Parts: sequence; structure tokens; C-alpha cells
Amino acid sequence: MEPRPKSGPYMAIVLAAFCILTCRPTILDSGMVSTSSPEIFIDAAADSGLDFHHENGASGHYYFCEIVGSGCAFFDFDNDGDLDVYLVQSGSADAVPEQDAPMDKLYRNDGVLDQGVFRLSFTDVTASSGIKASGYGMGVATGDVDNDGFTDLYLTQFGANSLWRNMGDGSFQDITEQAGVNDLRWSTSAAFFDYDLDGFLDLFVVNYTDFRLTNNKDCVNEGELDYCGPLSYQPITDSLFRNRGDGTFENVSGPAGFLNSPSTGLGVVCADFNNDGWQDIYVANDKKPNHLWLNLGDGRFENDALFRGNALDAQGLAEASMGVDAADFDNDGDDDLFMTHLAGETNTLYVNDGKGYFKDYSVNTGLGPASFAFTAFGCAFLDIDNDGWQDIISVNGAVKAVESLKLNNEPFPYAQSDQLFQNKNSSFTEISHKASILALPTVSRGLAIGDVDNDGDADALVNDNNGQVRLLINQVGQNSNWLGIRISGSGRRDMLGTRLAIHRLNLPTQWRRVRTDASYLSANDPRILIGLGESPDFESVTVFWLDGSVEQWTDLPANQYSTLVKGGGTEPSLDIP
Amino acid sequence: MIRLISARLAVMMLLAFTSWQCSNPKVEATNLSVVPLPDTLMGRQPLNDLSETVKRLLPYAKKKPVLLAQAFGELGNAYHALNYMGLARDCYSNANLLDPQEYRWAYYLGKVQRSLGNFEASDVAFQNVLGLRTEYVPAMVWIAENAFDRGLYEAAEEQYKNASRLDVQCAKCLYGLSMVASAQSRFDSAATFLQMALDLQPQASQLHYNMGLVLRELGDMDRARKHLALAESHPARRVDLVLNDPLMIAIQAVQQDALSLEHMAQKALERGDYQEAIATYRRCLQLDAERPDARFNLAMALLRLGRRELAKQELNILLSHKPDHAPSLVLLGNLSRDESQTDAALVFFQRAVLADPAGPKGDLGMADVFRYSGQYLKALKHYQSAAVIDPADHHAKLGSVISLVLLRQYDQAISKLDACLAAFPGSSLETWLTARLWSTMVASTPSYHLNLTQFLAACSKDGLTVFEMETLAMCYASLEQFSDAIRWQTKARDSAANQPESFESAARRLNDYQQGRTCQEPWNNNEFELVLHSWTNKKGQLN
Repeated sequence: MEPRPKSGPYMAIVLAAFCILTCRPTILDSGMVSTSSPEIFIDAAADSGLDFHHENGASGHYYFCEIVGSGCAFFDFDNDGDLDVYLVQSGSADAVPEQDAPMDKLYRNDGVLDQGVFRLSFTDVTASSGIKASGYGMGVATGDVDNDGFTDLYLTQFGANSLWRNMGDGSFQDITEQAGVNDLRWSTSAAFFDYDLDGFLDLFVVNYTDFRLTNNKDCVNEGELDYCGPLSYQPITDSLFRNRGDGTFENVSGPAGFLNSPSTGLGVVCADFNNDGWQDIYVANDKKPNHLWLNLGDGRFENDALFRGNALDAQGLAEASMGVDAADFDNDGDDDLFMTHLAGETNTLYVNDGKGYFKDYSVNTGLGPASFAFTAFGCAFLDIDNDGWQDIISVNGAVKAVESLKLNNEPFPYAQSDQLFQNKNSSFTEISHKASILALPTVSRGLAIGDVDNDGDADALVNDNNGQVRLLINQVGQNSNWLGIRISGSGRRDMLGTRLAIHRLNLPTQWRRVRTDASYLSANDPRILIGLGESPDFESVTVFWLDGSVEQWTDLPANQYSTLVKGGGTEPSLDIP
Repeated sequence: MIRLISARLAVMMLLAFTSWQCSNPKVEATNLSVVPLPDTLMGRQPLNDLSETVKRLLPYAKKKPVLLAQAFGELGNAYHALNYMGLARDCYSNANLLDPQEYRWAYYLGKVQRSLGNFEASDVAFQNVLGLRTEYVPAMVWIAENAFDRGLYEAAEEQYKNASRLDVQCAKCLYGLSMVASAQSRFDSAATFLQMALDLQPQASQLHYNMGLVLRELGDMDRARKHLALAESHPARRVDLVLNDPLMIAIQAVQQDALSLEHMAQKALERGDYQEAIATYRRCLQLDAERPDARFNLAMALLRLGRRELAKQELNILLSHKPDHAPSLVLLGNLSRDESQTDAALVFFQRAVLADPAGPKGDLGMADVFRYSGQYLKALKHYQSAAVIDPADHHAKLGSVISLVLLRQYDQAISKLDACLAAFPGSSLETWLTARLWSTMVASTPSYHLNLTQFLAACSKDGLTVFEMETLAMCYASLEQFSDAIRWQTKARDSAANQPESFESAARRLNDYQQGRTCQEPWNNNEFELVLHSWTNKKGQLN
């Protein structure tokens, strides 16, 4: 009798034969074969001249600030119609600054349209801009504080913040002291918005903890020195600065009600969450309940996050909230919230019922489990494929050494891959595999979204902690129809906070908000992009100005950008929901 | 007959062999995942012993799979307890492969896979548990949780119901049912399940939180707010929903060893939960009385709560075990100094210098004592000694500057101050202000006024911290505007009295600036009064 083959090899042969006969390339939900799917993103940073490398100054002391920064911005500082890039540098937290110490950088977009293709090319204009941001940088916020039509910059730091006025000639001037917007504490994200509806952008600054080099603590992770968490230090309060309209700001944090709620803020987004006509503030706090500051309309704000349902996760636990964005992902006319969290927690999607009451729909929408293993920071809603549904990107990187990387003796064992989620009818599916550039492990932090090549889709700028900047160019969105809109006041200022409704026949109305805030330590393109899918047709665009007036435009061209100036529209003819 | 017996014996042996084959598949050592002992854990008990046991038994994977499984399982428990989840997973996988009839390894594997976000693998492991113990409620609950987390509500509901039938006391099952009902917008049903769970565990925070949200959905706003007010979110204060999970007791038992307890206490100390830190350090020291760091940190936690005498007792016990423990000597020196026991303080600091000649803290302590007692030259000498030991020491630099100012050697002070500021460009508001104020004080009065104005502008008038009030008071005092100084110092004192937490915080920050990084003891309550008294006297002298 011949011996029977052992079951192991026998089964392997059978399985192999079965696989050869039956295995095919994976069919993806789009119906396309994966091997022929285009890459959603390519990284164009190096080729276009963005040579920025973030330095965290890792000192061996595990200073808390080293693992937190930093941010980046898309903004058009020279008003030439394309997005320029600002990148926040950190450097060394405890060394004496040297002449050649790394600093923030401003890159001018000198791209040109060449045979219908925008050829990206960036020039480092930091020196000529006059910006000298040499402290330990954290974040950046953009907005036109003096209504001169040129976008100004507010820089947050682990140290003194600064406000840089755009002079309109390519240079910036430090007006921090005269404007009165300094904050010497550890600030993270900041946002420009008009909370008192006086036509001037006010400033909200999020502060993190009272960590200083002099109270640095030794924290241990799995037996080794590692970075501390926020609960190791005292929480601190956030700041609100009211723009007086004369080039100065008034610190109204006290009367506005912010001084009794110290916390550990990292992310911020401003929008009218309860639909009462006043801009509210949502702050993502690290390991503390998040804050929803409802604007009472009389200069005061009230935190009602617990009752509104977006302070804690579904278990009633405070999560380690990092980045946050607000958008109408389900096309029902209100702004929902997405925020990123620590590994072991899920990223969270809070769905707004239209009256400012929220429910945690992370599980229902498919966003929960996929994020469980990641520590995510920058995040944004963006319609990656211009199908009319806003997708989500989150960029990730740990804050505690990752066990497997540490065992492999990685020198900076915090890298993780990033994630992309596709929205179809308010349900999300992870499609990171369609963007292999996102699979490269990095310690991602800042993320800004904007159409940097003006081709009608959302690109992404990522500032990686202790890493090379990445410029992720969207390769798929431009294949669908789109509508590009800039919302401007009479002085060419981007009208942050203004809402738009894009009406389409037999399709859901799409809602957008003009903003530069959200994500993490970063500032976004204020222009609006609306994905129209296969058909370029739409009925009208209704603009809801902050002062309560409403205008409508019906004859805008698809697949290009238009600027809608206040007073240039008509009375709305459609029923406004 | 004999043939019959032989045949039966043969059948029995065959059955036994088959059974052995099923429970012990032919596992070669090479099929098992390699589980390295990380360098950082080398020499740590009991990990070292467990790892050695695994190594010793590894060649017997075929002959003694159950024994090797046990060794892997126990090593997995140790990693699990220390939160090395990847290594724990590999150990449990090996144990499960070697001994698939042992439900414990499958259960732990399921738990670890879930914590790593591998829900499918976790499900498989828990289903294996149920294959071995069909009515094991914790496994059902975790399968339900895995399903719920993936939005598989019907599957989750079924498992929760099954578990609830088997264990009517399972509040977590009822909570799970409420979560499913809530996710499906069946809020009446959700409220009913939550109330049933609250009847079993009336303090559980997440029950109150979700009851609040459900009642909000049902329009019962008043009751909703009441429940939400009971939903404590702080991890140290909240009461968690408890699941009766006997196997996790083994993990908790491993976590009870002295080192783990020390780590847990350290975490509590870092997050400011001093009560918890004290309790955990004491448990740790009961297991191992000679852990100097644990005892020192216990003293620190006691000091944070104002228990100075108890803290001193612990430090003295520590010194009886380890007479040259420099941090304890420095801390006792600081405590003695605060109690105006200058001589005792100097003895402690001198001992600290001898115990740790490479450390600056003994010299710094002596320098501070001399400075506060008006012996500025001696103070300067010790600050300079400390600066020689650690040229980057902030406390030493700033102390030298202050001593020079007090000695009226302004040029040297300014020169040192410039170096100090250059070395600490990102230093805190307090340090910056103090340094600037000192420098302007010795420079010229107008610029000092300017700085004061800027400081006032920089501070929010409605929200000054105790420290900021004190700094203002100090500014006014150095301008010899004692009325204003007294006004602000009084405000600081009253504010500190009304806000114990911010008082402590302010005290720590004040200590920071005075002592660089040696922020080791709470501020002495009498300081406010002493300063007020001295300024009142000076005001009287001026008048």
C-alpha cells in the first residue's frame, strides 16, 4: 500500500490548482478591475518644487510638543487665481535658534496651463515675503482681517503666536502686537470667522495644555520613555479675539464665556450648527469632552455639547479628538461633524438633525471599525470623485511608539498609513487601496484641501511630522463634471461662513460652506467645489449670506470657476428649504 | 474472548489516538509564530521565566503540545497585562494552535484581536470558545460587540439576547440591546433596556449617558439633562459598566505585580489623580517595600494633596533603605526650607551634594536657602557651582541673575540674563516676564513702566490666574507702588483660597520659575501672608 500524501501538502496542491483556475483580479465596487484602476492620488511635491521637510527637533527628552505639529495651508496670497502653499515648521524646542535653523516656508504657485494641463511649479518666496516664523510652529489660519482683498496669516506656536498682514505686494508684515492677538500659551488650531456679523473676521484660537519645557514629565509607554498624553498636564482655556475693524482686536474670551472651561483643544471648526443664523464653534479636545460653543447672538457663547450629543462617544467616554471637519455629507441641508481619534478609539461621525442635535453614526455609516487601528489627525470632507457625495480623508500617525515598529528598531516608530473613505448615499467604504500613496507609512499631522491645479477636483497637502511634505494630486475628480465657485464680498474678501445650496433636478441639493478652517492645525482653500457627476446641468446656486440676505445665480458655467460677488445675484425664485 | 478484548482495546486505542490527533494536530515548532522577548523587557520577572519555559518546551511541541500551549498562554497573559498586544496575540495563537480544546487561549486570542481592531479574527476565536463551551456568556457578549461595531445590528441583537437569557444579571447585555434599539431609532425600547440595566448597575456612567440621549430623542428634556449630568466622562472618576468576565481576572492578577502597580500608579500621578496614585503606590510597596522610585513618588503624591508629614515619613523610610537617595534628600531639604528650618535644609542639601556630586540640585537647594536668608554672595557661589555641573540648568542661570541683581551687580546680571534668554527662547510666559521685568528694573524706570503696561495688556483682565496676579503684585512692589502691590497680592490670595486647584497650579508655576524644573512641593500657604506683611511694612516705611 502506498503511503497517502500528508493532508497539508495535498490540500495546498488542491488549493493552488483551485486558485489558478478560479482566482481573478479583484472586482471593486466601482465595477472596474483593480489592476486597471487609476491611482486616485499621485504625490507631486518633489517634482513641483515643494522641498519642505518638517523637523520636530526630537531631543530625546520626549517633549510633548515634538509629537503634535504641524500644519499647512492652501491659500492664494498673491490673488493670481491659483493656490499657494504655506508650511509650518517646528524645529528644536529647547535649542538656541541658529541663523540657518529651519523655519516656516511660503511657496508661490508658479504653475502654468500648458496644452490644457496645469504644470505645477512652486517657488520658495519665504525670504521676499518677510515672514520670519522661527519659533516652534504648530498651526496656521488664513483670512482677510482688514478686508483689503488679500489673505492674511495667523500662526500658532508652542510659544508666541503671530499675525502677518498680507501687504498685497508679495510681502507680509508682523502686526501681532498692534493687533493685540498674541497668545503666549501653547496654541494649536485657529479659525477666522465672523461671530458678531459685523463684516470683519474675528479670530478663535485653540489652546492645548500648560506643558512647558520647565514642567516636562517623563512618561512611560510599555516600559520605555515615550511622549506624554494630554492628561499629564493642566488643560487651558481657548481665546476669542473680536476684530474691531480698525486693525486691532479685542480679547473677549472672558465676556464671551470661554474662561471657565479649560480643556485640551487641538481642532476647531466654525459653522452655524443649530441653524439660527449665528456662527458657532466646535472644538475637538484631546481626551476631554469636546465643546460645542453655541453663539447666543449677544456676544456670549454657551457650551452645550453634552446635551447636543457631540461631547462624548457612544459609550459616554471622552475621546482623544484631534482633527475635525464639518460638512453636509448626507445632503440634508445641515453641517455634520467628522473627527479623528487615537488608535483603539474609532473616528467619529456625528450626524446633525438640522436643529443642532447630533447622533454618533460612526458605526451606521461604516466609518467606525476601519479607523480602530489608527491614530488620525488631519481630516476633511472632500468630493474626491465629484459624484456629488462628500468623501472623507484622514491622515494618520501614532503618538505612542507602535509596538511592531519599536520591535523592528525603527528610529521614529510612529508611522501609519493614511485612509480614504468613499461616500455613496451617506454610507462610507474604505477605498485607501485605490490610492497606494496613502499606504506609505508616515507620521501625518496637518492636512489642507484645495484645488491646487485648478482642474476642478480636491487635492491634498500633508505636513508629516519629521517628514517630507506631500502634495497629493487628485487624478480622478476631473473626469466628472464640476462647478467651481468663489464667494466674495465687495472688497474681494472670501466671505467665510456663507452657505450655498446647489439645486439640481431630481437630485439631492448639495450644501456647502465657505471656510478655511477645520482639519488639524491647517487652513483650506476657501473656494467651493461641487461635484456634478455625469451631467454638467444644474438649476441654480442659492447663496445665503451671513447678514441674512439670499441671492440666486442660475447661469453659471460648469467645469470652471466663477466668482459670485455679493449683490450680483437675483432674488431667489425657488423655494428655499 | 481475548480476541474480543484485544479488538475492543484496539478500537479504544484508535479512538484515543484519533482524539489526540484532533486535539493535538501535528504542530512543529517551526509552524509556531516566533515571539521575541523585547530587549526592553529582558530581565523582567516573570516574563523572563515564562519566556525561558517556552524556549525549553519548544522542542517538545509534538510530544507535549498541551504543556507548551500552557507556557505560551501564560507568556501571552503577561504580555497582555503589559499591553504588548501584538506579542500577546502571537502567544495566544500558538497556544490555540497547540491546544485547540482549551477555551481559555481562544478567548484571550479573541480579546486581543478585538483590541487590535481585527474583528473577523476575533469573531473566529470567540466562536471557537462557544464551540467548546456553548453557554459562555462573555464570549457571546464580545461577539455581539464585534457585530455591533461593524453595524451588524441583527447579529448583535441575537447574541445579546442569547447572553441575556443565560445571565439575567448581565447589565452589559441589556446595554447592548439598548444600543441596537437606539441605532435602529427604537428609542422607547432603548429606554426600557437602559432602565433595566440601570436597575442592575445604577452608577454606570455610560448607562446614564445613553439614557440622556435616548430621553432627548423622546423629547423628555428635563430627565435627559438629569441623566447626562450623572454621566461622568473622566476615566478616573467614571463608574464603568461591569461584565462578569472571569478569565480576565488572570490578566488583572498579572497586572497586580509590583512593577505593573508602579506603572499604574505612575500613570495616575501623571494625570493628576493623586488619590488613586497613593492607593496604588501603597499596594505596590506592600508587595515590594524596597522600590525607591515608587516610595519617592508616593511622597510626591502625598505632597500634592498637602500631606506633608506623611510625605516626610515616606521619604525617611526611603532614606533608611537607601541613605544616598539624592532626590529624597533634595525634597526633604526643600520641605525644611519652606518650614524655615534653614539649618536642617542645608544639611539635607549638603547630603544631596555628597550623594550625587554630578547633580546640580543640592547646590541649587543651598543657593536658594542662602538667597532667601539674604546671603546673596553664598547663594551666587552655589548657583555658579550648579551651573558648572549643568550649564543648561535654567534654575542655576536665573538664580545667578537674581543673586547678582540683589548684589547690585547689574552689568553682570544683564549679561547673564541675555545668555539665559538666548538659551530659553521658547520659555514660558512666566519666565519671560520675570526675566524681562528683572532686566528692565535694573535698566530704567520708564521702560519698566512700559513693560508693565504691556504685561497688563497681554493679560485678560477678567481672567487673571493667581500667578499672573502675583506677578502683577511683584511688578508694583518693585516699582514701590505698594498699594497696588498689596491689592493684587490680596486678590491672588483670595482667588487661591476660592480656587484650590488653580491655587495649586499657580503655585507649581511659581515654583517652576523660582526653581527651574525642581517643581517638587506645593506652595507654602503662608507665603502670601508673608509677602503681604512685608509689603505692608514697606508701605508704612514709605509713608
